[in-house]
Amino acid sequence: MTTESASVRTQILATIKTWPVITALVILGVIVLLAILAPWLSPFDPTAINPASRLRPPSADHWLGTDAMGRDAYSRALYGARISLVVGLGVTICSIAIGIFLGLMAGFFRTADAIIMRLMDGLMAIPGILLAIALVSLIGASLYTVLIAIMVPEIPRVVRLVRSVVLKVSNEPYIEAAISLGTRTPTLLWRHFIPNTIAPLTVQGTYIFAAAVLTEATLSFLGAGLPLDIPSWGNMMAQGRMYFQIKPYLVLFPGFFLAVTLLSVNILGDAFRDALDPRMVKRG
Amino acid sequence: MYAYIARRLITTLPVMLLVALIVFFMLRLAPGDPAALVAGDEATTEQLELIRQSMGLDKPIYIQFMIWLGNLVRGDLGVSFLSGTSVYDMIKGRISPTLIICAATISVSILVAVPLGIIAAWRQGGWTDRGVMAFSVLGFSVPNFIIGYVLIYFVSLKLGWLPVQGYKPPSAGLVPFLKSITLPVLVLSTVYVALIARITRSSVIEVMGEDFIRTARAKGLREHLVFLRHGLRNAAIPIITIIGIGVAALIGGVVVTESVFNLPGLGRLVVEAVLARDFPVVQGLILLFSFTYIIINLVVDILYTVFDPRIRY
Repeated sequence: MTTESASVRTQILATIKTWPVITALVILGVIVLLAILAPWLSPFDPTAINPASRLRPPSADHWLGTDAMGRDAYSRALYGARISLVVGLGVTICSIAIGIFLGLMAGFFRTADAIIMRLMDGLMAIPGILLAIALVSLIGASLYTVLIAIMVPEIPRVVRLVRSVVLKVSNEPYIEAAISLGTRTPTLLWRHFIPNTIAPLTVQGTYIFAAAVLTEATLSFLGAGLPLDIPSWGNMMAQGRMYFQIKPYLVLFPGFFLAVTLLSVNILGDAFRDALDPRMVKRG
Repeated sequence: MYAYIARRLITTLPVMLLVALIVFFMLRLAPGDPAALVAGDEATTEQLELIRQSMGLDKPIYIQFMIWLGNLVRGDLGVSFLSGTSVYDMIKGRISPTLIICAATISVSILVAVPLGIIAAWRQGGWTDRGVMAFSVLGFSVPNFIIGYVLIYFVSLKLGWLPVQGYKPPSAGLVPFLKSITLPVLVLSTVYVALIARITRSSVIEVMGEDFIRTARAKGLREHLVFLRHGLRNAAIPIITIIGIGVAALIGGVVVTESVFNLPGLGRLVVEAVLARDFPVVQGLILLFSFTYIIINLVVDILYTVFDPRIRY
C-alpha cells in the first residue's frame, strides 16, 4: 500500500496544470503522433537518394529542403522522430526493468548488495557518453547495440533508487504485519514494494528517456551511433555538418526538433518530481 | 579530520580498481582476436603466435589482468594499434587544449551560476527567478552541439566576431587564443551553469527557511550578514556536490564540443580512436577520464569538511 488522499491528488493535479507543462504535453503529443503516422505523412521515401535535387532549400515540394544525397529532409525528420522515441522508450523500459530486478536483489540480500552496489559505483564513475561510445565501438553499431550501449550507463541510478526504496519500506510496520501474516515473498514484492517504487521511478523514467534520446543523438552526431542509412536526427546533423556554412538548416532543423522534444520531456519530468514531492504529501 | 581524509582516500581505491576491471573486461568484449588486429592481414600463424605471446594473451585471464594493472600503475598505457606511438605520449600531446578549456569552463560556470542562483533565490517567484529557471531548463535540455551550431551560425557566420572552428594555443598570441576558446567555453558552460544555478537556488531557498536563520535575524544581525555567515555555508554542500557530479557532464560535453569546433584535444581523440577501433587509446582515455572524475569527487568530499564540520565520519 502507499500513502495518499484525495486532497493530495488535487494538489498534484494543480502542479501539473500549469502553462509550461500543458505546452510540453501538447508538443510531445504532436511529436508522438507525427512519429506514429510517419509512413503516411512523409511525402517521400526517407532513404530515396536523388542526386538531381541535392541541397535544395526549403520549398513547396520539400518543406525542409533536401540533404546532400537529395533525400527529403521533412520525411527524414518524421522518421527520425520514430527512431528517437523508440530508442528513448526502449532504453527507459529496459533499464527500469533491469534496475528494479537488481535493486530488489540488492535491497533484500546482503551479499548481493555488496557485489551489485560496488559494480554500480564503478559504472557510475565512468562518464555516460564515454561508456556508451566505447560499448558501441566494441560491439558494433546497430539499433539493438546502440540501445544496449545507452542503457548500461542509466541502470546504476535506477538500481540505487529501487534499493533505497526497498531499504526504507522494509522498516515500515505494514511489512512486518504482512510477513507475520505469512505473506510469501513474491506477493510481498508485488503488492507492497513495487508500488512504492512507482512514483520515484516515474520521475526517474522521464529523465532516463531524455538522456537516452540525447545520448543517441550525440552518438550519431559523432559518427559512433546508428548506421547512416537509418534516418535519425543525430545522423541528419552529422551528415549536414560539412555543409553547415552554406546550408545551415540541414543541421538546425533536426537540431530544433531534438531540442524541443528534450525540453518538453524535461519540463514534464520536473513537473512529476514537484507533484510527487513527499513534502506536498505531508502537507495534505 | 585527517582520519576522515585517509578513510575517503582508501574507499576511492576499490572504485578505481573496479573501473579498471570494467574497462579491462569491456575490451575483451570486442569480437575477434586482439593479436590478429595488431598483426594485420598478412601475418603467418607463427607471427600471430609470437604476437599473442608478446601481448600475454596465452596466459590465464587473471594473470593478464594483473600484468595489465601493473603496467597501468607504472604509467604504461599500451601502444596505439594505429600509429604505434605510446598511448601516454599521445595523451600528453593533446591534453593541453582540453585542460585549458575545462579549467576555463569550470571557473566561468561557478562565477556565473552561483550568483545567478543566489539572486534567483533572493527574488523567489519574481521574473529574475523565472528567467533563471527557464534558462536552466533550456541549458540542460538543448544538446550542447546544437547550442554550438546555433552560436556558430549567429556569431561566426552572420556577425564574423569569432572563428568558426579551430584552436590557437596561448603561444600564438593572447587575443587569437581567447577568440578561439570563447565559443567552446560558452557552449560547455551552458549545461554546467544550468545545473549549478538550479541547485544553488533550491539549496539557498531551503536553507534560508531554516529556524537558525530566523534566530539570526531575531538577534538583529543584518540581512547580508545573515546570508553570508549562516546561509551560504549551509547551502554550499549541495552546490559543491553538483559541481563534482557535473564534471561527468563536462567530460561528455568536451567530447562533443571538441568535435564541433575541431579542437585538437582529448575529446576528439576519443572519437577518432573509437571510430578507428584503436582500443588501447580508447582504454587509456576512459581510464584517465574516470580517474579524474573519481578524484574530483574525492576533493569535493574533503571540501565538505570545510563547510560542514559535522561531516567527519
